[in-house]
Amino acid sequence: MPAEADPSSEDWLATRTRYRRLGIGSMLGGIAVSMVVYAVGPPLVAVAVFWLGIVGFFAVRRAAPMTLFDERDRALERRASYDTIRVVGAAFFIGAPMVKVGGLTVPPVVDGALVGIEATVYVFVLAYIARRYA
Amino acid sequence: MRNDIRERREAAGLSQGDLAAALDVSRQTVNAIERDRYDPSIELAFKLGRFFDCHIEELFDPNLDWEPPQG
Repeated sequence: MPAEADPSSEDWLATRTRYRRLGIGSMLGGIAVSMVVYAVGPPLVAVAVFWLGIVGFFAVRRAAPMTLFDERDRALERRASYDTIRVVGAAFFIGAPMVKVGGLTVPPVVDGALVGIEATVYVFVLAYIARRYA
Repeated sequence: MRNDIRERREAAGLSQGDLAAALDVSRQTVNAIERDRYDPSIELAFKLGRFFDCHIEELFDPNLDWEPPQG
């Protein structure tokens, strides 16, 4: 015999959906509003709004009476992270030698992007070593 | 991993939302497990087993082509 399900499961799902929307809305809303403020107002206020949205997300997540992001969400994050590092790694191993050793001339923005990609690869390597041996 | 969670859930007269609420996961997660698009963690598999009052092996069919070495 299966265990009894909570008779208020519809309320539970609706509440969960509401908290998720509130949290994600806080983050995305903060980003959107900060971009508008940055374009028309003082940059410091834009940064404050940006951080307010982020803090709002974590506050909602903490206040929620249930798990807002379950193990499947975390699994999806892991897969997305894996895909990201594969793309970044490929860009690093193909792009960096062409520019740094091959003497390929690229616009400054691409050169700057390669520095960011290189930094991401180093962070990945450090994080992997830390996880492996911690 | 193939499983008969949908059949068991429907036999119990429960919706995916009911099961999700009982397990503290999203309805989408229950749907993904039932459709063999997501393999649950061991912890969630045990929760499912406890919920349906059965062993994990009765819920999931790993279709393993492997036997433990003899001796």
